[in-house]
Amino acid sequence: MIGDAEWRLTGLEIGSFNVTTSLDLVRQFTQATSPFDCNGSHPLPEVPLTFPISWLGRPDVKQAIFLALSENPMMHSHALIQLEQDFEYHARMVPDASYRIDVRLHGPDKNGRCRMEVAAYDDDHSLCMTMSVGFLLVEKGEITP
Amino acid sequence: MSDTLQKGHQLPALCVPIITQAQIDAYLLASGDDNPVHSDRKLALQAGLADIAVPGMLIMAYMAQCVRQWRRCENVEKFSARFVSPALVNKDIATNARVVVINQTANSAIVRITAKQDAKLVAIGEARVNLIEADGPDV
Repeated sequence: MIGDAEWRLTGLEIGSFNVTTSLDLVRQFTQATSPFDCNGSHPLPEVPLTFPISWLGRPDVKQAIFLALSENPMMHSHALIQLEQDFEYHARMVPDASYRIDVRLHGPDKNGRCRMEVAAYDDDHSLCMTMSVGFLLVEKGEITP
Repeated sequence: MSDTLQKGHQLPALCVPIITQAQIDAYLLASGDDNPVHSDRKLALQAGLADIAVPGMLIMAYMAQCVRQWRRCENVEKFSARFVSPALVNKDIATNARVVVINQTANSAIVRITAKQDAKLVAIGEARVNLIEADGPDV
């Protein structure tokens, strides 16, 4: 595991948020991402690898991200398309736990690329997970199937 | 033993039959994703898509299961995906994965995962996996 000293975040600070891996949320996410029948009845489910992305969908986090992005005039005529996603797990994410996430935004650059960087810390302030979400700003109506 | 694992080893494939709007809606609710191109066909068409787009992160979740369900997977240290082209609602998605790098010393492997719809690549990813010692032939 690496600590804060090794983990450098740059870019625009969006904020710090308290998030959880509550059993209800983890079960709901597990069921929604299972391609087959899954009753979610396991007493202590595993945290899905992609579960941390749901933290960015929380209303308070989403609002802060939206506010930061809305300062860019391109946002009025462009849509955000996710191009890439990276996770690095420094420790096993456990269900029914609380974490703190720091969210930062890089860009958009002149090519319309921007990146959200998220670091998650456990109650002992140890870095557990980092993720990076890469977006491209595209003019509305220009998505090529 | 990890040395029985060969580069190129194919993990069991995971085929998701017909991703319905109900499945997408369940994912949007669970993830907080409110991008209308995943729920509003008219807006999806206006955005230049042929139909409602399956969220890339839902496809990535399927790719993750392809790795997590592999009997040699102890845990995943890194996992990444690139979304190459939009996947559309009411169609199958097939995920395939194979071992591209084996680190005998660390007892780990890098697995490359692809997700295809109508034989077209929609996402490609990689996972760095710590391996469980095998007690039989790799399947």
